[in-house]
Amino acid sequence: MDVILAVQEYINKMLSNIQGMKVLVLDKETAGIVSMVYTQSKILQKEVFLFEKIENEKEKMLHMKGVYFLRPTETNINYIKDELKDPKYNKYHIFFTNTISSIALGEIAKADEQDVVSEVQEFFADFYAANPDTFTLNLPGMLTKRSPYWMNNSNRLIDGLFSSLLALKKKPYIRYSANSDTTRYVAEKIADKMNENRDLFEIRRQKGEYDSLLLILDRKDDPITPLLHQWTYQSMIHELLTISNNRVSLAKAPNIKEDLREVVLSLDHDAFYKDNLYKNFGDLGASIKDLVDQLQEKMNTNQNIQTIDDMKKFIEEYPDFQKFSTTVSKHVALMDELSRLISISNLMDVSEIQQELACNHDHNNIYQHILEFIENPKISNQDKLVIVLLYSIRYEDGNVWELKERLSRIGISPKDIQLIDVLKMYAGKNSREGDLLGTKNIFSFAKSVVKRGLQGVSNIYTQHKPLLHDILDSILKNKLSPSYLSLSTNPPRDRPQEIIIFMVGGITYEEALTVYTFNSLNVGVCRVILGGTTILNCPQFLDDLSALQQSNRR
Amino acid sequence: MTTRDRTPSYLLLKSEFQNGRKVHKKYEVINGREFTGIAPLLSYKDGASKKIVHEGYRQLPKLQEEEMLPLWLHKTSDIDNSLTKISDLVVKLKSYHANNLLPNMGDSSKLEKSIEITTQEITRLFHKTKDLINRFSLDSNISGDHLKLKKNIQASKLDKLHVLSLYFRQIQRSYLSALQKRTNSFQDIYKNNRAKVEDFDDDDEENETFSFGFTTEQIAMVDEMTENITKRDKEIRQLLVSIADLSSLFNDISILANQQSGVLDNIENNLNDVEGSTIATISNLEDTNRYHKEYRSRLCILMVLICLVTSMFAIYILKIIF
Repeated sequence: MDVILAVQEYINKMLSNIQGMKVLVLDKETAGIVSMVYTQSKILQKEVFLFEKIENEKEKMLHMKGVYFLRPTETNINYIKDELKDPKYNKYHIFFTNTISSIALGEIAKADEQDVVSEVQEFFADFYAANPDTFTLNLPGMLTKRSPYWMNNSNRLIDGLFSSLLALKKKPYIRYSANSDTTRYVAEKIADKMNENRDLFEIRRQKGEYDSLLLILDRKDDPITPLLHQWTYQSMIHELLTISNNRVSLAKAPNIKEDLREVVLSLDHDAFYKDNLYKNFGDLGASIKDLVDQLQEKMNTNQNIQTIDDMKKFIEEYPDFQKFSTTVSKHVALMDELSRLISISNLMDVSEIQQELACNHDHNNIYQHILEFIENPKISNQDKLVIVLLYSIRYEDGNVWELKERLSRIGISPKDIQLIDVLKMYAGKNSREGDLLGTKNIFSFAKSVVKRGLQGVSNIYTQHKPLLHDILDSILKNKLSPSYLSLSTNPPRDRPQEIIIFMVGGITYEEALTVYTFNSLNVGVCRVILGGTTILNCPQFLDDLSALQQSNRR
Repeated sequence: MTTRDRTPSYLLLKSEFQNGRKVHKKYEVINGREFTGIAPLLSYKDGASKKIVHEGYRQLPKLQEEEMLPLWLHKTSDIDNSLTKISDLVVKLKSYHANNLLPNMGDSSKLEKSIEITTQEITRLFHKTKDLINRFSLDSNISGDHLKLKKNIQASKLDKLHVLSLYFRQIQRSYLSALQKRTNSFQDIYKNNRAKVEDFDDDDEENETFSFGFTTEQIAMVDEMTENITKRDKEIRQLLVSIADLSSLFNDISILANQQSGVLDNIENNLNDVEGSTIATISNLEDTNRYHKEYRSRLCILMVLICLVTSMFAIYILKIIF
């Protein structure tokens, strides 16, 4: 179960079966899907010599084969139909990322008057593979069924999740969180779709047998995680600079070099990134230093060239060296920008108080802290708002009203302050499933207090564990709460070995880290793939909340 | 990794539609015949002609296609050919090397010669292919997408060539070092033997030195001289090898210069770049258009002004005269 590998294999299979020179035609979404797992030079080696977007005008090249890798949307099919009326390429190989209806297939067949289409296939790579165990659908603003984007994108959500099951070759039984309409809707839709396409699932296994678990969760069960500031490399980059399809823009950084304005972070081609993805800020500093030292050493060996043998060696190693040095300058630039952002907005202090709020139960102390915090002019308004949001989740019955007063006094707009109410409505105590704060029963409350007292905290900035951590633990013990309803009538009693968790509303890189640690601790026992409608960071989550607010007002 | 092949159902659907089309066409043809007034006496012939018509229709795009095939496409196959040739030769060379390194008592000069020939052939092919690739994008009466296409082809072929040349170099180096090691060990044996022989010689030196008719001094001198000569010879050879290496190095550097730096090796990004530059072009064109318009109106005003001035002059002159 590796989503990156799955997509790569699809593309490999697609391109190696077609001999000769090829043009790869992509739509907006598949361009992202392909480029997240393949680089241009790698694809050139597969004799793909031209990339086109489907909506662009193409030149006539009858000596080339057109490989179309598209989502089966209506617009794409119309483009294909127009194209087939006046073929630009010798042969057409059409690959859809999802199931295509016979009606659409018939329309294409009707348009194919010159017999140029030589195959039509369904290759189920309809999702963006971010990490080997994490995928996303890049659909922001899908917090609940009432969100304004839900109407347009719910089909895309179902398609994406459905294709991920096929790409991983799994036929799971489905469980969903009972307290949420949204997860029930998704679970039922997926089950329907699996039923409709039964033939796709039953090649490998006998009828009715399940080999894995699909657990559909709702973001509202854990609204704390996307609000917290993160300290591991990948999460930090996403939080402060935003990773979109493995690309990070550094254009806002001061004095940045021209060729580093936009950098690519690919797990396959950047060993340093792969090794340090989950390291926290402190360890990361040490790794960066090692990396720079390594570069220095290489520089020195390169500088002292005396014999012809040395020159020969230099020439052979030069391309690698060049690659290495671009990697180093990329990561140094990233790190530089991160630490600049952290120091100008005092994120160390902010994160400390956030973590205290998320993990502690000492109300009076923290309340005083927050009051001081709101008066502090060095902290940005957004951070102040986030702190109050966290407070309102943790102490729903506390002095939220007074804090709101204070926020409006320092000039935060009433629209932003209303987010506190929106969050309460979206993810208040009564609408959450599971025990987010560890307060729902006395036993676990006592346990968490004792644990804290006895063991202490190793790093105050990373003490928070997302709810997902508890859920995974309970799955491992085969004690998942029965409030996660099952759709099928007789689910297997044993602990599932392979689990796909999908979170409606979006996931965070902190949860990706949780899944990664869980997987590396339980090799051979249990493997989890995490998916979400999008990968959230704090600003994105706030945006989604305010979109929810607008749709409520209407 | 589940896939589903929809080609069979697609073909089925297509054949259904095509049957529909055929029926339609037959109807048209028959109508045509009726219009010209020829009675369908020979229905067989009619069928044949229809077939021809149909085939002609099918052949039409194919003919066009052959015309469209651009010339430079042949060059890619040339490049591909020489690339495969090189890799074949490299494999051959490797086997030769392995054979030559085996201890053999017989005459290995033949093998050595073929090694030399193959190596030279490979180097020649490398240069030829490199030239081919470099010249590939030179003729520039092509536009937009084709140019992009050629650039991409060039990059990928260069990459392949580079990998091959690295491999070739590696083979050669390992062969040379193995050879050197062997010669060294031979020399050691030779030296040891010689020392032994000399030891042996020492015993009956007095009896036999005179029989050669040379003094020990003379023999020593000759020995020294031959040693010097071999040494110098060796040095000259080494120099030659170094010079050859140097020249190949320079060639390598020129290949390297062709390599693209891989900072932004991202498909989506490149696609977006193209889009961005297209948009920029459009705005530039609009600007140009505007300037052009402004220029025209300015020209008009200028003309009117000139007219006015000249007419004023004319009136003035006329006034003076009359």
